[in-house]
Amino acid sequence: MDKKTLDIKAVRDGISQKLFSAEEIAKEFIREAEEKNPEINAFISINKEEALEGARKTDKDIESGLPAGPLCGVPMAIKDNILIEGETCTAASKLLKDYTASYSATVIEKLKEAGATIIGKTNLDEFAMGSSTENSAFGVTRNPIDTSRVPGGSSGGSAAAVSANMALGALGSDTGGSIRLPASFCGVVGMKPTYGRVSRFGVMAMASSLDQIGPFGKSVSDAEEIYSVIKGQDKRDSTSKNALESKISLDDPSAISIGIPEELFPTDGLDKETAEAMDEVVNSFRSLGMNIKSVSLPSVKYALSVYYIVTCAEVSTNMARFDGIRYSRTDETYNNLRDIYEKTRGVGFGDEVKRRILLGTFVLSAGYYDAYYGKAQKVRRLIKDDFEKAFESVDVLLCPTSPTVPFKFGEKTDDPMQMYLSDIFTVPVNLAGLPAITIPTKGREGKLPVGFQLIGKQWRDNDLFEIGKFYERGN
Amino acid sequence: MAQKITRDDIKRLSALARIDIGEKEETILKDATEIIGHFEELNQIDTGDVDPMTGATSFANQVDYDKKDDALIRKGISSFPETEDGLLVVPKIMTSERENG
Repeated sequence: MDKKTLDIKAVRDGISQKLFSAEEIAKEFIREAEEKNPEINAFISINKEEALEGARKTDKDIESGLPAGPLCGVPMAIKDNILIEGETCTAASKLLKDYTASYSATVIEKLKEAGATIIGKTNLDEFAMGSSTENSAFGVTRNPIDTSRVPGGSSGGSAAAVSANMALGALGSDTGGSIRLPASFCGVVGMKPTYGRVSRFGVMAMASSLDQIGPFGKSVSDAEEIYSVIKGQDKRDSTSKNALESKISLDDPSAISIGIPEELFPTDGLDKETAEAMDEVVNSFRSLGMNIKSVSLPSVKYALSVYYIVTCAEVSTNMARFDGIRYSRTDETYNNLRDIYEKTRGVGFGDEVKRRILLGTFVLSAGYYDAYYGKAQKVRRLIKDDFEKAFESVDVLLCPTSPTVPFKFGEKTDDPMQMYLSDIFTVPVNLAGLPAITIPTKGREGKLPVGFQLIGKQWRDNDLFEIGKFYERGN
Repeated sequence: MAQKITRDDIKRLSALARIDIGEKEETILKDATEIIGHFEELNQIDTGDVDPMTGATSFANQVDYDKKDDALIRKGISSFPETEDGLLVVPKIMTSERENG
């Protein structure tokens, strides 16, 4: 039996019924990861010994009669901006290449408690800033479906690891699409929960009013299994919250309304493959008996500007802590305190991080604050109001995750504005704090993957899993 | 109103942000001009009496008592570049009168 074809439930059941052990599963995935990583570069580090030790502990627990945790023996890959005590956490930055985490993120404690085996830390755009995983101090990650193309970003390593069977599930962080875009490009499921649903304690902050941690899986059910483990209020993240847990009923599909927002589903703004795939998706939902309705989100056309103003402002603030006094120092030839700051940050940060810090400093500086940051916060409100209004008449929204299929390396690296446009369909969701999932469109074997996005009402994360599973099953 | 950003602005911003940008001034200026130019589209929108949205949800943050965790502080600080007796070491930022001569 090829254990890499099992889903999370099959792994859990197999281990608890002692058909195989957590250690065997871990070994199989680690072998695959070690074999493929030189080419794909999904992992910055593979922690074989810790992983096997964790798996053996899981086996011992099962042997002693303890019940199997929900992620019993599931090999997981973790984006390298999420802390695991005692392990390096680089954020794919030169500045943190030797930094060791002094505590574990809440999501890591939850995964371990659920029996998961953590096999390594995955590559990303430096500090999660990017859309292609090309901005990493540890080299690019390659898309396992076509290695001449990017895996998307910023959680490109996590998406590639799941896509290439180097892990069964993964965690990423999503500030403007950093889970959904790479999931779509690598042909896997990725989900960004409602803001506040998952604790961010222990994830390196990028833009704090937008960041959320979320799961990757090979199917909607697998993503849901991981999500169910990591969600929940945490005292250590003041924005986290326990909220609504109900889910939509699909007993009568004709009672479900799916909204197509014209601004996020432009007839002329998609490449040919994406447009074709999206037509198929709309037809599938229609033939499943659901109502398809056109809706409008007029202010969403400004979302990209609002997003980059808010993000850069928050980035410039959050990155201030990396000053050479705390965390790491990249240059020892300093004359005074200011010199330590400027050299550490000058040598340690890559171009995109510097660009965002400078833009953030600009939009927050005296004389410009009201015109840029203040204005963006107001338009952000209009965008959120647009979503609320649309959700008065529909249950979920449907749109592409990306305007294009995965692009080639270097295609957009010299033009930051072109790179930012990759996020055009994903950023509105973060601005409004909503949940969204990307699911690979069916029937694209042998072609480049195209993901579609379902956007849900606030706290109605479960609806996305229900409708997503319905699409996957096709009935 | 279109905002023109200059080389001097980039110098000022990098000084404010404490980043040595080396020889990258020109590239940063070019990219920043394009990106900030894009931001200008927001001027078309009338946001007169709109309440600014400062967070992703309207919920109040949950609060908790701030408890000191000495073990965590020790572990955190020990992973930093230069420490002494659990304290961070920084270069001298003030000099005494005698040293000033």
